[in-house]
Amino acid sequence: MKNTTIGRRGSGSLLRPRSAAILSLAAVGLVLAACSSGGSSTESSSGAPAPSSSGAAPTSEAPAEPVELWVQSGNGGADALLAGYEELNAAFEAANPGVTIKFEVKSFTELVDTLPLQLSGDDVPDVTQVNQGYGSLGQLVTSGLVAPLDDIATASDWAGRQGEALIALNGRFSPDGKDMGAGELYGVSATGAWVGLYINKEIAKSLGYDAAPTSLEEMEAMLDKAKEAGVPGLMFGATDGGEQIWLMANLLMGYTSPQTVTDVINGVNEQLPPETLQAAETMQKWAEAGYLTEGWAALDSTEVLGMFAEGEGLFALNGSWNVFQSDTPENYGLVPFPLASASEIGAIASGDLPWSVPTNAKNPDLAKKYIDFITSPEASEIWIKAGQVPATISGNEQALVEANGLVGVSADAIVQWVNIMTNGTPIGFPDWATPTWYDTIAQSSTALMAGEISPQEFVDALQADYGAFTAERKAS
Amino acid sequence: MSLSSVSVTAGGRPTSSPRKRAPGEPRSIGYLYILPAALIYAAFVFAPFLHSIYLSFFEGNGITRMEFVGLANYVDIATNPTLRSAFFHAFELIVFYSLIPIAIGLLLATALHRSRIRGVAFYRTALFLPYVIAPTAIAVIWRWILAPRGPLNSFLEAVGLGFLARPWLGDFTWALPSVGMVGTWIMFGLVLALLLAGVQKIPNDLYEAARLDGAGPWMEFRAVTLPGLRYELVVALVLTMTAALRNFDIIYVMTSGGPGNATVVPSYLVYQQAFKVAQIGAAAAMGTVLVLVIIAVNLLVARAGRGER
Repeated sequence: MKNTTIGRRGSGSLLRPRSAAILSLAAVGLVLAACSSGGSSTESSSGAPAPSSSGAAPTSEAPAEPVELWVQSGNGGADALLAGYEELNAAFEAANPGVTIKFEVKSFTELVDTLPLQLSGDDVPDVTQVNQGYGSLGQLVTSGLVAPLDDIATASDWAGRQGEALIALNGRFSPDGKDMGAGELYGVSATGAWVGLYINKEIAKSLGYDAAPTSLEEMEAMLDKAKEAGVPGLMFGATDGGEQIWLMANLLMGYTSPQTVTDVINGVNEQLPPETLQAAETMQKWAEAGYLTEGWAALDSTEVLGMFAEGEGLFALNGSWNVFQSDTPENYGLVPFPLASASEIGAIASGDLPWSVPTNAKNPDLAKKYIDFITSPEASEIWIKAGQVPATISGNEQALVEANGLVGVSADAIVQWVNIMTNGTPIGFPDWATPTWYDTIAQSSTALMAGEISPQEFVDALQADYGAFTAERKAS
Repeated sequence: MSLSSVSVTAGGRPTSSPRKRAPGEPRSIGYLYILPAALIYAAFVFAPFLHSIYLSFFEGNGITRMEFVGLANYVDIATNPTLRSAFFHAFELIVFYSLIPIAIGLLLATALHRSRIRGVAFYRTALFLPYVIAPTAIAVIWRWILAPRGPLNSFLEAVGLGFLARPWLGDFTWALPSVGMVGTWIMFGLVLALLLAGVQKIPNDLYEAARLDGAGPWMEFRAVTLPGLRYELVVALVLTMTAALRNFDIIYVMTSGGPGNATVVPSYLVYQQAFKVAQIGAAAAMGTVLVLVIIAVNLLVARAGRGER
């Protein structure tokens, strides 16, 4: 049953980092550092060899009895990421004699689909990844299935490690699960995932640009130049739905501000901002102007990024979790999607599936310690070594990136994450706003961009879904 | 029943058991024999079905307390354009899953029957094969064939029909027919196998008699072949229409209901509502309506099959 996602588009939050990571394996030319892992469940014995890297301060209060810590991940298929976890698990076991980690890996879809039922039983993991948003983590909080982590978060200063903005958007909920983005902390991410603009620098240069666009206006001018030159402007694939949602959120952020979009995601108001219409008009305009990949409505995100990695197209809109390797890494860059002006930096940038402790966990304290460990600044080193973006900012990123020989978009993914976290504003994924919004936006925007519905009809469809859920959530 | 008392008086012999039973009437012990199967059926099919009907009157995520909403979920299906369109799409798929395969099947069965072709068994197997392959695999293959840069479009461009090339599964007009054609491809072998078997069973005398009476091929088909295939047609219709209405895997893999809502079907919505957005009640209502529609369609077909007699 493990890793059996058919891995397509559409529903729920399918095109969130993890499933995309699964897909990425299938893509030709998009090979992350291939590791031999991929087993679904690894149980390393407590007599495992000592970890190669350090970080974990050995603890004196070793449990007298052997304890098995059951850790459940939803990163199935993301081998490089899992390799990082394996290394961290070994380090954690070494630092905590008597503790054995049972690391169970599920596909993202399997995790999200089965989590509510699983956690409502008695036989639950000690630590599990969850998905953000009202439809996922919010539901678990409402049902009382996950426990708050505030004590250890305060004790270890998680907000200092990752920044309160990121902590809040990944894991804060009111205890009734009704309000997202503030309240108690129910989950924290170990690695980061952000959506940005991939740029082919060589094509940009041939069009007369030697840098990535710093404003929406400039980006549109570049798209237009590309069109004139007969080059696909934005490599775009719509079948997963993710790219439309990111495009809409990025445009809306450009027309308003990152904070406004964060408020939309958290459902502060029942009414969408008026600029949503402007974003819709731009989406339709770009599609109709021929800026997008031909056949975009039948292509998926991974496919088009694969084409981009092989030299096709000026831009691609995609996630940092899909960084690809290239023979000419210096030709490619990954930057935050431009906003209104160069002075503003914002991006859809959340942690990967946050780690939570189920209410019925048998070893809650050890579980919290584990989460604390994998989000520590020391763990960052292992994450960067594995080519991943650590959610925690350690300050050594640039040096570690160079030390590990990361180049091109692999380096940008980490360096720009630090840039967004320190100089800009991270926002969450828009589909967290309502359980059905992902599908609503995905479906309506395809219709919008194919010219089947008008921008106003698009906004109405989004507003109907959003308004109904937000009003009901506030009323109950 | 009065019959049992009549027959006993008529027989006029004393019966060993106080419970009277007509000759040929099943003994009650028969129920004991079917008990194990009946229990399994009740536990795994009937009880869940009843429970899902029960759930369809509630709203909630299935974990926390559900709220009783009466028929609201059903009203939604009748009034919400997306939900309603799912059923229209399912009926449109019947054309591709049922009617077209049966039309082609009838034509080929008649032709194959009239003229003996060498290696019929081979063709029959080859054509039946799609029905045996896992639908998911078929969907993956066809998604590839129909991709914007897939073989179909390349072929069209190669033969100078490039203007026909399009992103088939991303086209609001063509996505549903494209998915439907895959259904035709799957079902057609099954239908042909059924009808071929049926045609072979029709006595040749009937054809001879028809020909002696001066019937042409069309008359022969109408007066002999079609009535002779009545039962096979009913079976073919029931199987293919049910497949069309409950179609999930092909849609899930090929389009996930997209582009927009252009290929959304009821069973896909059941899955989506139950597992993706945790609206258990709405999913249960959708499932219930789907089952009722399938039963109704099958009753109609069965009745039509009987009525032709």
